[in-house]
Amino acid sequence: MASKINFRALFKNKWLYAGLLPSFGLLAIFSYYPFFNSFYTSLLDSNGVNHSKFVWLANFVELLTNDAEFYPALKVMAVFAVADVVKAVSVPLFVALMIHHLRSERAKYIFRVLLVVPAVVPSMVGLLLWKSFLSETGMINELLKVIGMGQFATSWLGNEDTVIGALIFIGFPWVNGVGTLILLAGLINISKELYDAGRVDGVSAWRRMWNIEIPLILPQLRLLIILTIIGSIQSYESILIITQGGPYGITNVPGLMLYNNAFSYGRVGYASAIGIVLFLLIIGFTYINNRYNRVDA
Amino acid sequence: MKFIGSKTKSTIMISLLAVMVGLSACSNEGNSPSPTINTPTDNPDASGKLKGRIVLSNKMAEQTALLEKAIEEYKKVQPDVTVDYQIKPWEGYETFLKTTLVGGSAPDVMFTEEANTFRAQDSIISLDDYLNTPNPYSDTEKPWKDDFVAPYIDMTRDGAGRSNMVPWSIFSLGLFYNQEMYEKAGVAQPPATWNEWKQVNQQLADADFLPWGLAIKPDDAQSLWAIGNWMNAAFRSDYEVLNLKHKEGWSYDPNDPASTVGEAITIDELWIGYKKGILDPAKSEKLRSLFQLFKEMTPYMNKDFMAIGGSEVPQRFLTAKNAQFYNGTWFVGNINMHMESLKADGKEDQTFRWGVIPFPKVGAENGAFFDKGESNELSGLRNGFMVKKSDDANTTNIAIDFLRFLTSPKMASELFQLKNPDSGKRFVADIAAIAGVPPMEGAEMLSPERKYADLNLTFFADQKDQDEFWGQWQKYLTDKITLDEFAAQRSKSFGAGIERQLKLLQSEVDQALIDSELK
Repeated sequence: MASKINFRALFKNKWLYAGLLPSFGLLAIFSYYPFFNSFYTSLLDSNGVNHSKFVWLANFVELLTNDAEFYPALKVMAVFAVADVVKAVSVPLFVALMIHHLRSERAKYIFRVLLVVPAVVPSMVGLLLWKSFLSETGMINELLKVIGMGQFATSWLGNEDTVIGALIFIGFPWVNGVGTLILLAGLINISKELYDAGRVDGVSAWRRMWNIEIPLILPQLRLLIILTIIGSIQSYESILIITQGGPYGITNVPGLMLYNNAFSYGRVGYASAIGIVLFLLIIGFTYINNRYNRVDA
Repeated sequence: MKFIGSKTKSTIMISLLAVMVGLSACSNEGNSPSPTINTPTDNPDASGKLKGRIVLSNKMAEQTALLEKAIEEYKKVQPDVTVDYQIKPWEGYETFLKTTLVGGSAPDVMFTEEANTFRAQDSIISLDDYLNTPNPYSDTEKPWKDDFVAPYIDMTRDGAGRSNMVPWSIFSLGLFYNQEMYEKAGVAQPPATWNEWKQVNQQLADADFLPWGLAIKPDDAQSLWAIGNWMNAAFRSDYEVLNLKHKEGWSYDPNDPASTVGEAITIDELWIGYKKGILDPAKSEKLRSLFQLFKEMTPYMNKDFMAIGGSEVPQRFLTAKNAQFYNGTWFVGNINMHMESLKADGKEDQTFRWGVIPFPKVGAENGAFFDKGESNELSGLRNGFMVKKSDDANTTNIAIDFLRFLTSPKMASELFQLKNPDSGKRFVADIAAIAGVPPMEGAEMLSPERKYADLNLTFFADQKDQDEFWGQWQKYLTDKITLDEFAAQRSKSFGAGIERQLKLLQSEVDQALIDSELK
């Protein structure tokens, strides 16, 4: 039901609205305008500078029917997205539960701080370190040799059988500080009475997790899953830095295609079309996640 | 030429030092003020006329002292001009340029290694009009382009034959080798030819050394340096058929390097050569033979050549993990510095004797098509300056004026010889692209001088073609696909790339020539 705008209330809160204006003004310039502009650009044959011709849906047609790279890249992206979701939910959930059930408040605080510390390391540094760990003369292979498993040493990033797994392995043990803190916040908000009731009923730690804690932190889990999927679909930086899509192009992802088309091939219109398709995928996954991971109040 | 040190035993400390040396090379620190130099202000027309501000960007830290000195000297002749200097990190510099060019906020003058990548956005200016007129800061009174070492300026030409870069330095590639590994493997003489080198590599492999450290990845063109040079030599007998849009009265003389100066294969000529099968990888026996020739060496390469970064290769050489690598003149200075710093730190046991020779040549023994002489010295243009297309003519004028000042023979001679007061060595080991500037001591062996006249045949039609190449090349070198499959894939990518370029350069393509040649 449409409601009338209450101008009196608006005027009453004018300073609040005025306070919000700069933020949303900047968002409009740097986020909303480029976002909507990319819809238009996707309909152009454009180099982004001085050549631009309206081609209707030709970029989409080419991408979906005539680009040999796109579907393999989409498949690789899907593999990374599934792996990322598993990584984002499993270990952080385990760590959050461990911290939540510590008796000492001081210990809880220290662990929370320790979780945030790795976040100050620039992601580029982390990626370059992992690239070095995974090289043929890197730490992983040296470790394998030390423990007598030298026969498994390989060029992890140069071997088509191992490169996807190696890229997924990056960041091990995947203790995502922000993700853990989100889940921890959910756990902290669970009513103490529920725990007491469970204790009276004699529930085991396992059943407590499945029947009390996970159902009650589903909103946080859902948020984490959505953010992870969005991140996975958009992500290409690690691939760009570590493999450039190789070997043989088997680690190419749509995000990298977008980057290459926009900045290397001078095909900004086509890159925008890739961006729109990725946006639609994100919308689709978000809808599915909301639809099937619904939390009833 | 040999450089003497002592035996390598420990690897870990050298690795650390190599990283430190690398990092210090990327830093501005230590670039103390350089000696006073004489400014080329002889020509009064060149002085004090301009007013404004430009931005100059660079990613090569070792060039900072030279560029800052040039800016300081330029201020004396153009006091109302300010040149803001930006040093950017090596990693991501091309991304920075590509994104800022698309966004319109790129620096006015961009020091870079390659210009044609940036042509796709059509946002850099073609320099021919400027290069064809005399440089007021030069006393040669010749067109500006004639102040540069002759064949290298043609390497900056794009598919329309336009020059997009003001050359600055030349790379001359050498094969760096670990003398002690050579001796242990019983190698008496460094190789001069490809076949001799194959023999040397076998000896090294038999002695349990890793012969050749190499990176074959999209972010490193190492494997292409050789093959591109071979291609120029292999197709000499086709030059007259390929170079259809030549100067009036042009004829090709392979033994006269000057005979190809000013000539370039443009995109329409490339298309004709491709359609006639001369340059079509699927039809050209020459190209197929060159691919096979390179593949002969894969058993002697590091197994992770598809994963290792280009910068890791010399680091492995410095830690004695491989016996040889090939790279540019600039490594003469880097390796010397590394060995000296180890000695200074009392770590002589981690140093080793090493040497550098011109990269082994291919010739008639490698294929009958090398019928007009063996491959030239492996060299090319290392870097230069692009100028952003600007709506403000004054900005463009200042950018060009600054580059003319910088590349005047007198100024360049002074700048290239600037020495780091800390090390007593030249800041830049590269050979200048400006004629008459003497090379760095210790790098004379790697001469960029060419014995034969070569045209710069492009190996790729455009960036997308190049990106597609890497997957195909890696698959071929690791036996995932056959030579036939590789050639077919190359043919498809190369043809599609030329078509894209023909479309992009439509207004400058000679369609009548294409039609008449392909009818």
